Amino acid sequence: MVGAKIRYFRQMKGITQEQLAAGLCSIPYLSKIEHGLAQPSADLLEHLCKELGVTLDQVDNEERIEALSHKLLEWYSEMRIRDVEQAKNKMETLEKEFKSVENPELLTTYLLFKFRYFILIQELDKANTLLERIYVVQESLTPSLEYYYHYFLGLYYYQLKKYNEALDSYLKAEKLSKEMNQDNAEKAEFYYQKALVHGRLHQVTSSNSYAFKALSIFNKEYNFKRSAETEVLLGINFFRILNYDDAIVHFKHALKYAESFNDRRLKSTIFHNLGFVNSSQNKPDEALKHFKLSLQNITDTEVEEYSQTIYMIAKEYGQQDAYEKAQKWLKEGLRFATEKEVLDYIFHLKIYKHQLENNINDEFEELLKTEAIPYFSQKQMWSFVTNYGEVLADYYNDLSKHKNASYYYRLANDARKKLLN
Amino acid sequence: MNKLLKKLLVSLTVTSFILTVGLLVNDHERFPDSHERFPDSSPTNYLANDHERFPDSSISNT
Repeated sequence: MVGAKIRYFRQMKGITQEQLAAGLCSIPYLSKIEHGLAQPSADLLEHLCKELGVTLDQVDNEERIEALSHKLLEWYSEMRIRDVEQAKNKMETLEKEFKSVENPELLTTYLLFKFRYFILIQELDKANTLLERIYVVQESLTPSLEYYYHYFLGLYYYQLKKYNEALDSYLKAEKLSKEMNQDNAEKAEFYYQKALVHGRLHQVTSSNSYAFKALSIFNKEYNFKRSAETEVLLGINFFRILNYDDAIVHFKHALKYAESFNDRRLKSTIFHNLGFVNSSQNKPDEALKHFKLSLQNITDTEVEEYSQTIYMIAKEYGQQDAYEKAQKWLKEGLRFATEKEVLDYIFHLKIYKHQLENNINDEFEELLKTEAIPYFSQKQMWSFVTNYGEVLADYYNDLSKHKNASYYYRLANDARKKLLN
Repeated sequence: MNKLLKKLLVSLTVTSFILTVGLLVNDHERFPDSHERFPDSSPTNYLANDHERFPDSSISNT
């Protein structure tokens, strides 16, 4: 026990075994102490603890450890149901209590859950700082803590839109979860997160498989907020395989839930997606009705979402040859996206403006070649690289610039391969 | 020499018999139906993709 404590605090302080052992004992002997294979003398122990700034107590009070473990699990449950208020309050209390804790496993659990907390409240810089500290003790994690580590790392990557990395982390967590006794709430949340990342990666079959598993548990556990969100994901998946009827069924299931607890954010998402399906079904009136309902329900913080719906409205009017209306919405979209610095939609809107005004000129070429395509490539947003790569290739092809056309057709083709993995 | 040749011929006949039967048996396995409808077999709407709005991953419930 005392060995694990020495190891934990040494690693946390960024000290090597060589540095700590210097003048006190040999490196192999310190290694044995850290792994519980040697019992140091009281004198050596005192020196080691003094060097690390920890107390000599071999163990923390067992009852206290149990009480704190219980509190940590409670905190995690609050985070899992995204109860930010409760989680915030608990964080403040725990922060004080953990100042006097020296139990390595408990401290590591706290560190991991704190990492999860910063993901929850979207403070990703702080999460990143913690990640560096967790990385130091990664090798000494127990299997269940290792599960949390990979799972939370997956959530972290998802927030950064690094979906391949997120999936890799979930796969590692999934392997470890087989040895664990996960409760249903944990299983369902994990399936949901995995379904989300498969969805983002356009892996519809896998996404559906996990989404249905998650949905069945959420329904049994009366977690209707997540049931609704899972229905939205299923709707997107069915839409992506052009099964519009089933997509609408799932979105409407989700809408029933969202209306029952009047969740504006969720309603806005569902209306946007319903509009998207209607647009693909060539039902412009329905599409516009749903997009506008989405805007009515949008919350102030959803700046990217607001730009996205405006972009869809402009395109919808453009497709109906309602040129002036399309221009009006484009103008509003560009004003808003520029003011809020929503770079993705500044590009989408600018490109569409050129297309709508039929300004397929040098400026359009430059926008695609030097700004939009490199930007979306760097962000690994392959569907947009495919789309805009082909637009630029067609442009060169029309000008008989076949070498350039070939280059961008190939770029679009490579992006499509990445999309299909 | 004759005996050796005989042994070789017998073993070759046995081997080819086993192989033939094996091959014949193989073709009696029952393959799964080729008429299932795979969801991924329909073309995906790539160009429209990614303007969909995904549900929340880890954002406040309130």
